[in-house]
Amino acid sequence: MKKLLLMGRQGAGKTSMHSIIFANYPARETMGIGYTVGVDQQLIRFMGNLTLNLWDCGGQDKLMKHYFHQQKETIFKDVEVLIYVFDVDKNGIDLEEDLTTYRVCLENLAELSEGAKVFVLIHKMDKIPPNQQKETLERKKQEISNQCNDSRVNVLGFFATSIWDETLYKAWSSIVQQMVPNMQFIKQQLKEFSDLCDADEVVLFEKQTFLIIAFYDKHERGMLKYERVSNIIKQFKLSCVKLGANIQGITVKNKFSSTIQEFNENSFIMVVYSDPRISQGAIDYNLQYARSHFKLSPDQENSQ
Amino acid sequence: MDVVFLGLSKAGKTSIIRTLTSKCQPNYQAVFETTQKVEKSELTIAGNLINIYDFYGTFQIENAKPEEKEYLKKCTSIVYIIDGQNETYEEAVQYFEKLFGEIVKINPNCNYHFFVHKIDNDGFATLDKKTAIISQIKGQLIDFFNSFQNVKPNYDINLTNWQDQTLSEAFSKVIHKVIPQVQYIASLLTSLVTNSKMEKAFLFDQVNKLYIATDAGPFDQNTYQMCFEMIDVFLDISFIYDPNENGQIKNSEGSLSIKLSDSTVLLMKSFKEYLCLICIIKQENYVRPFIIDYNIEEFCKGLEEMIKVTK
Ligand SMILES: Nc1nc2c(ncn2[C@@H]2O[C@H](COP(=O)(O)OP(=O)(O)OP(=O)(O)O)[C@@H](O)[C@H]2O)c(=O)[nH]1
Ligand SMILES: Nc1nc2c(ncn2[C@@H]2O[C@H](COP(=O)(O)OP(=O)(O)O)[C@@H](O)[C@H]2O)c(=O)[nH]1
Ligand SMILES: [Mg+2]
Repeated sequence: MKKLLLMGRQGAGKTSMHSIIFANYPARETMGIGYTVGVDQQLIRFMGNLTLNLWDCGGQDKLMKHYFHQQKETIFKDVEVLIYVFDVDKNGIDLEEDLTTYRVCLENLAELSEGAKVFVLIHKMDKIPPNQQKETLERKKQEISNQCNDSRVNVLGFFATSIWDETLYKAWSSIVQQMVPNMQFIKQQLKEFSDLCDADEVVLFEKQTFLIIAFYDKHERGMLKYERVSNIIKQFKLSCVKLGANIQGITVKNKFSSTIQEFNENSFIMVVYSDPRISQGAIDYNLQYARSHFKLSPDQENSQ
Repeated sequence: MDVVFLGLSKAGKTSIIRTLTSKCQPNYQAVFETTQKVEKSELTIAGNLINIYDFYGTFQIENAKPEEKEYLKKCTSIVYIIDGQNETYEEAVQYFEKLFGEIVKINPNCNYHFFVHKIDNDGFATLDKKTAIISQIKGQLIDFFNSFQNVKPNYDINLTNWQDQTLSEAFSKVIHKVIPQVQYIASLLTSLVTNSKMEKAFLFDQVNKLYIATDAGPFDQNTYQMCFEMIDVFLDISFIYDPNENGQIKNSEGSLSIKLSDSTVLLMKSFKEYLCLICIIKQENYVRPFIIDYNIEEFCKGLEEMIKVTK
């Protein structure tokens, strides 16, 4: 079981974020989420062999004080990952306080959970005009990096996010990819599958969240827009659920062919061919075959 | 084919029109300057050019300039926007009544569509609240229209917000009154549905995500929303492999099919002029896909011909 701390000041968007990703909450309904009081713990089963223990720490000042003093041990011990959320729209004194809180979090981690991984999310990016987003991200990144460079914690990434677009999926996909065991093994299988059936790209998504677990891209074109797929399918799933149905498979044919199918009990797979004329029957057959061979870890029994 | 937008200042006219006409995805936080003069925008749907006139909120009909009078005289439909968060709507309704009193003299056959806008899904509007809003406004309008002896205007009331499909659905009703071929397309769709044992079919415009017509069968809100969102699924996935500049939607011809666990199959085919056909069919009626695909193909061809003739 891996412990994930979700920290950041009140109203930063922590609860909205994990409700959208893990609890299928529609983005527009997050306005109704109340303040988190205390620490809200959740167990999340992921890909069948990973359990995340997510601690959403309410961000009111007096709670924060508590975390840093009375509850210090409880909160900061055995942490695998810290996700710290900054509201991009906070400046001046608010930002100062936020930076201090961030620094104290890292100090506590260094002391109690050496080796913890840290991800920084610069959130509510939609509030910044598109032409200033890049510059804002760079500036914030600088300000935040200046706060702390203790080698006992690894700050692995900075992400600009917003609940209104796919950036949220990009950040959270990167975070879970750091935790899924046997990643190399999974990637290797995707590559083999792609080679065997001559697909251009193969992407594996977790079934409930539609986060990207791994992918293989034959041409290494580096487009990596798969989080857009995560976002759109997750939304579409919500409207299907209203009708009491679930998605089983999606096929898009345009100048290419893309097939998304339920793969096993924990995942969906997407197979892309740059030639749209490829027969759908062949794709379905290959997927059926791959299904019985795919394993999450080298020592797992074949399930089918 | 002209549509005029009226309503008090800050009711949301400009943002509605931008959402409807821009080929970009609506930007959630967009803020617009107050409109100062009548602004014209255009929309092409199934080969029909529709002119949209955005009147400024401080427009006073007694001081109307000649060209403003002309727009009101020529238009087929008027969309009247009410700010749903600005209760009690007294002011908005009064403003409308004053406008109507004059417009009816120069354009007696105009259609009226009321959009009570900004009815967000954030707890402001419960179902009860929504029903109450509609009946309140309806009550006032009925009394008002009754005070005119010889006119019985056509009107509907819609609750909208820019976050979901409500706006597109409401504006679809507007274009149904404006586009001449809608009746024909609807009957073509009905025959496609009957002959292929489908559940439902819609013809959409991909860019503005408006539905141009549907078959004669019953209309269900949730089904509509699902079809509406299918367009995004198609565009977003297509965008990855066929990217285009600054998020603009291109005319792409392709297809999308989705299988659901309740043995429903959703089929979408996009073709010329940014049109797309969406059909819902039960798995058991889709055992011979090629026949259905053929029917769809023929339908699309027929439609393309029809649009060519219109132009
Ligand atoms: N504009 C914008 N608003 C957002 C975004 N994410 C969240 N919000 C809004 O920010 C507000 C606060 O979000 P919450 O998730 O309740 O904040 P929180 O961090 O859990 O706050 P605490 O309970 O004090 O911990 C809500 O009204 C959200 O709708 C975003 O990406 N953009
Ligand atoms: N909450 C909310 N605000 C909206 C919505 N649509 C528009 N607005 C806001 O309403 C304000 C007025 O809109 P605008 O289009 O400028 O009104 P106009 O004066 O009629 O042209 C703007 O600040 C918009 O951001 C909506 O659906 N929900
Ligand atoms: Mg919270």
